Amino acid sequence: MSEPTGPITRSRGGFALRLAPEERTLVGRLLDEMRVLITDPSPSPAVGRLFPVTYPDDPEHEAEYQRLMRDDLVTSKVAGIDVVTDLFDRQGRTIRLDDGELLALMQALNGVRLVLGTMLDVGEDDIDGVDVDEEEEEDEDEAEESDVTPEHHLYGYLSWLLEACVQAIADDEAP
Amino acid sequence: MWRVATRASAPAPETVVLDVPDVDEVTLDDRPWVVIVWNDPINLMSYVTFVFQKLFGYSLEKATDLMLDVHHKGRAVVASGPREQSELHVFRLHEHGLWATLQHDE
Repeated sequence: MSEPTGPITRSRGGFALRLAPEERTLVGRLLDEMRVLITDPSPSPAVGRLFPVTYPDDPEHEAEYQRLMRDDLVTSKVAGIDVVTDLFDRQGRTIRLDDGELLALMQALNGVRLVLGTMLDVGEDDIDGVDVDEEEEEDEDEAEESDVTPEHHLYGYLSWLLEACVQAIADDEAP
Repeated sequence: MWRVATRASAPAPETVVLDVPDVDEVTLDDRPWVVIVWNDPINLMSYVTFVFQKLFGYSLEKATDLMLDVHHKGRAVVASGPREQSELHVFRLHEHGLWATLQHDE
């Protein structure tokens, strides 16, 4: 019987996450940075996408909503990040996750994608955060200027990992 | 609440009785609120579909249709109801990283 492949698969009633040590280090570091960003009393515009306006047409309700709910949203996101960074501290190449832990991982990964994607200003059809419509690049010089940066690769990696999580949960819930 | 009743008896003309609503009985906050999810270039289509299933108990088919509405039309109404319940929906959607807003049902 062949072993399931991919970074995350269904396993023994839960899920198995397989990340190389350098992947754990990288994602862990990103989550630590995001924790700092979102708990900053003067949050940078980069995290704006994590705390959207709720009542765009109603400043009074918006002020009341943010007064009541903003701190709870920050707390929720930090708690999720903490779950994931604790997971990464576990020994062994394979990390066993339950449903709640997988969900925390998905939300944390998506949070980092939102911040990174905002900073990279990714577009709708971009893959890895980079415009892949090469047919529009008539000029060779133009093609060289649109180099894929490490941040674009990182964005693509996080997207791939999140997609793997979604597929694993979808497999779990399939009839 | 409007009520219209007619009594017709020949040869007398019809009589129409109207109940005029008391404006004080209607408060704007009683109107239902709608939760709108907006398209954005970052959220994965598969992830958005999953979030709709999880938060609202929608079938895969309905969640996918809603996601495609968001994707192609720029926005979609994903839930509606009283304000407090709708705010909770928005909070949960924000927890998952979706761009959600609230407004009165149009």
